[in-house]
Amino acid sequence: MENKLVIIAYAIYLPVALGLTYYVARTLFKNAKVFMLDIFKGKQDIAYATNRLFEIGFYLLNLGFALMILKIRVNQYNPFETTQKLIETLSYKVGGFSIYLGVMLFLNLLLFMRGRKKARQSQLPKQQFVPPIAK
Amino acid sequence: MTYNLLSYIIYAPIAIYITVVVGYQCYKNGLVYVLSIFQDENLSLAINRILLTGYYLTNIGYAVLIIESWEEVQSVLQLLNVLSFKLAGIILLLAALHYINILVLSLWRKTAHIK
Repeated sequence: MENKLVIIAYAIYLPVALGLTYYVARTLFKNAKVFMLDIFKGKQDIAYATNRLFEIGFYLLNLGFALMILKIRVNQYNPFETTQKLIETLSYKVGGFSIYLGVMLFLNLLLFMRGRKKARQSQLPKQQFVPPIAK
Repeated sequence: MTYNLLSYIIYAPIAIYITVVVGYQCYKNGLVYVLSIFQDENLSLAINRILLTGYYLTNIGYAVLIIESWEEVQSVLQLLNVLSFKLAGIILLLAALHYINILVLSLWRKTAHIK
């Protein structure tokens, strides 16, 4: 009986986790193209290639983590017998995973912001720098 | 058929599929980087293809290698647990390698531009 409940929990958790990952990745990388174009100064081919590479990395990292935390331990201290227990465990797992996804999302965004700032800084001196002697 | 055999039959195709798909995507999108480093199309294509082959060899090799140290599986539940854990290991390893690769390529590209 408890085995059946655990398998039901897996069957609910996995689609939710995969769907969340897909949704977050799609939103993030649809909007990251603007950053990439800024970072690579409008060179479209390399900007889109980098975007795709980061997307693959994001998927790998998050799907790997989602699978890693799948396991529900069942023993005499944690008898997995009631529907209540199922809902509690699922909420803990899904909530934890979505917090992790949020942190990852902001980390990626931070990375893009930093890259954009650096790219802008390296552009600025050529355009605006006026040597003090020439004034 | 034992549960162990069943888990190998499920595990191997998924692991190989993930490795091949990720490798092919990196191969396709990495060409721009290799081109910007070497600025010679034939050489870049050759290097890219060799990199892909090396990647397939190491990763599929590793994925198949860890079948050897598989624990004994006794129930469907344990099968799911072990399967997800092993696949997660492979996927996270790929992720780590992938980020290292991006880092190396971007650093290399910077130095190639300075020259």
